[in-house]
Amino acid sequence: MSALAFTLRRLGAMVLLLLVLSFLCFALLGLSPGSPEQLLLGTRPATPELLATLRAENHLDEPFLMRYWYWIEGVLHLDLGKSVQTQQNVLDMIVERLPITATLALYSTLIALVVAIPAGLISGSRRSGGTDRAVTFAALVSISAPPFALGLLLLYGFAVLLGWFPVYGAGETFIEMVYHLTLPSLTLAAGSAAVIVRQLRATVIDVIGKDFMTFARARGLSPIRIQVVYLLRNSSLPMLTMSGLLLSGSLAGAVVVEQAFGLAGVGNLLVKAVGQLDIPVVQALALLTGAAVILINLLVDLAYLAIDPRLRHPRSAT
Amino acid sequence: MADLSVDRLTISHRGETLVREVTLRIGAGETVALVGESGSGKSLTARAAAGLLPDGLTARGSVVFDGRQLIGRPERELRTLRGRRIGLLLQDPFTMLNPMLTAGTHIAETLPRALGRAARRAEVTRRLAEVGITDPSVADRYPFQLSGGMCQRVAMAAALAGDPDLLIADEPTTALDTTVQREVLDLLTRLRESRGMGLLLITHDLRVAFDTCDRVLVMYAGSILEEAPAARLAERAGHPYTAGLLTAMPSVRHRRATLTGIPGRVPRAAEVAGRCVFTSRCGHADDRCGASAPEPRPVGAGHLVACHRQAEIAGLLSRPSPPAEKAPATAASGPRPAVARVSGLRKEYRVRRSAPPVVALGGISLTIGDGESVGLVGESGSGKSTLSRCLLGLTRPTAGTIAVDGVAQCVFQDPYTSLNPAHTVGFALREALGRRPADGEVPPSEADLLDLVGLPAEYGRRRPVALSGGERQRVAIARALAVRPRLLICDEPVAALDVSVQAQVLELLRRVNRELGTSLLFITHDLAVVRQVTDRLVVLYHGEIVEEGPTESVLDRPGHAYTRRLLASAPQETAV
Amino acid sequence: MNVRRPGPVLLACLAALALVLVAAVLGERIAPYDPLLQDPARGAVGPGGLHWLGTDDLGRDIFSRLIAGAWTAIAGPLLVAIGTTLIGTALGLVAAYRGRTLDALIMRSVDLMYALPAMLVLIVVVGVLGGGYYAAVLMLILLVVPTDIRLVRSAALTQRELPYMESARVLGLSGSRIVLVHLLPNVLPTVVTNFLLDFVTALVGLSSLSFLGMGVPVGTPDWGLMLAENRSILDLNPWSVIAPALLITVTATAATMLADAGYDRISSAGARRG
Repeated sequence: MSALAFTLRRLGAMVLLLLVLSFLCFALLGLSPGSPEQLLLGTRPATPELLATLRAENHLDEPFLMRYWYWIEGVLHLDLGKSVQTQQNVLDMIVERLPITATLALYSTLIALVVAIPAGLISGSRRSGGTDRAVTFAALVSISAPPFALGLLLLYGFAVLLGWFPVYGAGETFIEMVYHLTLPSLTLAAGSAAVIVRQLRATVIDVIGKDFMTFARARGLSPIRIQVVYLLRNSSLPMLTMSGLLLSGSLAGAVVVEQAFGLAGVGNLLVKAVGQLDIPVVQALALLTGAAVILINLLVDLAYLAIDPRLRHPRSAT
Repeated sequence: MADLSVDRLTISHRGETLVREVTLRIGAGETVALVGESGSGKSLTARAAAGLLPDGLTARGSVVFDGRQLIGRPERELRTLRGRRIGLLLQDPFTMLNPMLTAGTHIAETLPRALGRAARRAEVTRRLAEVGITDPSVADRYPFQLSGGMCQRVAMAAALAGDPDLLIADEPTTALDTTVQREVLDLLTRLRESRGMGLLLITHDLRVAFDTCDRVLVMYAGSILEEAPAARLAERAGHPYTAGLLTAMPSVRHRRATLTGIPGRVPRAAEVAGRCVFTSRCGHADDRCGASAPEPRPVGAGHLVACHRQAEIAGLLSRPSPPAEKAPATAASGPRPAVARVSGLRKEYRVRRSAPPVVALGGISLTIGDGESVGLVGESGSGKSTLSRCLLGLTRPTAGTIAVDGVAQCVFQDPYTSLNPAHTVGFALREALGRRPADGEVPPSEADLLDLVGLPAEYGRRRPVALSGGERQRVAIARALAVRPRLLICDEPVAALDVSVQAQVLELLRRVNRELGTSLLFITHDLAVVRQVTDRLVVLYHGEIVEEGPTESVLDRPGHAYTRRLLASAPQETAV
Repeated sequence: MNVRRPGPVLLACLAALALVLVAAVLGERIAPYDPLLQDPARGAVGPGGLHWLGTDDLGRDIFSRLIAGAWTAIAGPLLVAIGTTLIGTALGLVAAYRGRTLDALIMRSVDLMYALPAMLVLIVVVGVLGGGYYAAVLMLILLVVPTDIRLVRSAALTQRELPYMESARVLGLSGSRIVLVHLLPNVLPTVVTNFLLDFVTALVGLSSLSFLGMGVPVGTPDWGLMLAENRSILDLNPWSVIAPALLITVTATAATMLADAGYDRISSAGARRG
């Protein structure tokens, strides 16, 4: 398969997935318990005028597919509707809370990569050594512990007992935010780091045993070249495969971690909206996070093209 | 110039000895072969000589190269020797190269000096030409875009890019087709001569060793048993093991009346400490052999033998059995009824929907007579395995007809995956017996079947993991025979076995054919093997039959150019 | 081939899981207090003679609630693990052995599920549609089963091409016998690992839902919910938070360790080269 055909196929699959996703998100309104009018009313009194306005605004008298079409059209124009609780524009609500969640995500990814890649490489290269045992055990616990349990344990240890970090809130300035978000990010990073370490360790053990590693050493190549061009590059593909799953795992983790540390981020918004049955907000969040995951998966596939020559060059017929 | 001398090298893993007190010397520009079956420790010895033992293995003794002790030398200093002074070439051409790098990069990264872009490119082209690749665009291809032979040439160019004084080649041609193997061996010899480089060739094949090297060392269970100039060893093997290997080796020139293997299995080096390692399988062993390990003693010019009884048994050592009478035992006169008739068989594969189909078999016709043993010879890609899969009903042909009279069964190449690891040998045999068509006769028992293939009845309780390769292959044959097949299809049944075990399995198959009257379709790449077992020979090339006739006449008087090329490529049995 | 005796670490894992299982089965019967009994006068006190792990802010005994909470901690995850293992193994084997259309159908559905962030789907669906704990269990089975199908299928595919499978076909054995007698025992390591890892996934998933207030009803003794409810008294009685957090972590870690060790053990017992 040529690179172009590969890319086109992936793009096609992405569009299809987005369609399915948007349809499911939209269907949420119809599937929720209670009539759409009730859901859209929220806490407001049910006056006939308001009901009529709601029916008109949301095209409730039109057939299902037409309503879906209107909704999609709105989404494409960045109109994600209004919260039934606060009457606020949903997009504004999300944008307002994005900085905390984005910082949390980036910070934790950074921690996970900085810790996990060296740990996985060392652990895999020096199998059964003391470092390997310690790393393997830490990864085992981190991959098993739910983020909220780990978060609260860290919170107790470092914030309540030692008092190094704040117990609540996200801080105002950037510096404050980094300080406040350290424990949450560590918590969120633990799971991803554990997945990376376990995957990388297994891959490294596999790659180190390959003939081409022996052959590289037999030719007197420099250790740095062997580590980077031979070991790391051949270990990167399984890592890449993981990254899509890792992302969706982190998204879910962020929801729980924000709750555990009392952070008012996007995840907290989702939990609140779900609790209050604020359907437009839930729909918007589900659509956006789903789209983000699908997009990242596409990027992962394209990264494959860049790294693995086997995808770029068709196998010659033998 | 540089020479390598290994003195009393012992390699162990967590206290278990794998290689014991190996001593060998390679003078500058000399070619030495280290021959041994699987598990003999020959590859470990080679790795230790290049300072590249896998993690966890420790070496004692001394490895001196060009006056420098390699054992205990820090990695940093060893690195400067590797590639530039000592090169290493491995067996599998596909796994030896980094799949992420082009052929050219492999060569360029090993060049001793940093060069400018254009100069580097020119140098890579020159190096490729040296290994017989004249198309410079190969430099830009990735390993998966090249054939096995091409990969092995590229690997050779990369191994030699640092211009080493000594090349250690670990089974460099074992994974290749016969004709390619010949080309690569010739290339290796040529390069060695033109560069004046020393060569340590590790191989399991005595014929390859005789073909390529001045001196041959025979290794077994971690110890060296015999060392001699190649020509002398071929004529006058001094150790019972070497003699046994030579006897077990099938010949492409004639069919032997009996094929004699070496009974038993290779012990682990640690099991046989403090005695002659070959004792348990040696027909000449006495009390001394079990009491102490013999030291190598000279018995002629450059000929060393480690055997307590060397002087007494020199005249008694087994020699290859004489050629069989002209007409093989199974050759019945007159036409025989057919058990399998294949006509116009064609098989195409589609790799992709858009691409044109690949033709594996281009419409072949073939008849296998009742009780006949037919050999099917071809290299990889010839379609020989596709033919067997079609006959067994594992693949549906694109066109043509197949008629098999009665039951056809099969024996595959890899003994390690031929039996289900989850079930005992007895379970496998009973399951097969359950599929035996009712014919009024009393069916054989599980023990009868095991006895038929020469295994004790007690083996029924064992799982495959507790069996050696040769034993597993016998069980696979017993399982196939359980349903009383008219036709037994053997797809490279001995290719994965050591020579000493191979002979036993071949002899068993001959007996099955002769005594049970089961027809054989024997698929192989090895002309010497096919000569021992078959009456008639079919040569397959790119999905077409290019030659067909009685085995003897095809091999003695080949008609087709391809058959002649195959014969010329087969390793010679005696040193040249 | 003898199976090696389990080492001390594995025994500890097994013991931990057995204890949780006992607590789940016996529950309130072995708890010192009624886990629902409130005592406002003794709210949020630390560990002491009367209450080993103290009380929450409503004065309920933490230790008793932990024992009672073992039920929701284990029952749901076990159901999920059983469901996913059965369905995943069956569909994975069928996809691998039957091939073609059925395989394509199963695998495309699996790809679709893979593209969705499972935990978020769980939060949204269970949170919005309601249905509580057992709806979450069903939903988890649906969300986790694609992973099992994929793993069993790829394990089965590597076996399918091996000569022993082809020999079974050449012998003329029936498809169901080949799959059940020849294929299944050789993918068993994968199946056992799947079971344990699915248990962990479900444990984490269900307790996360409880923590977010979406699984079990308010007031139920449940480890995840206890963490959410007692977070506010972290400074008064830290054990009301630490104990359930540790319990969840230890239970999950023990199951993961068992999965890791179990795979090595089972696969080396049969398939290693002699």
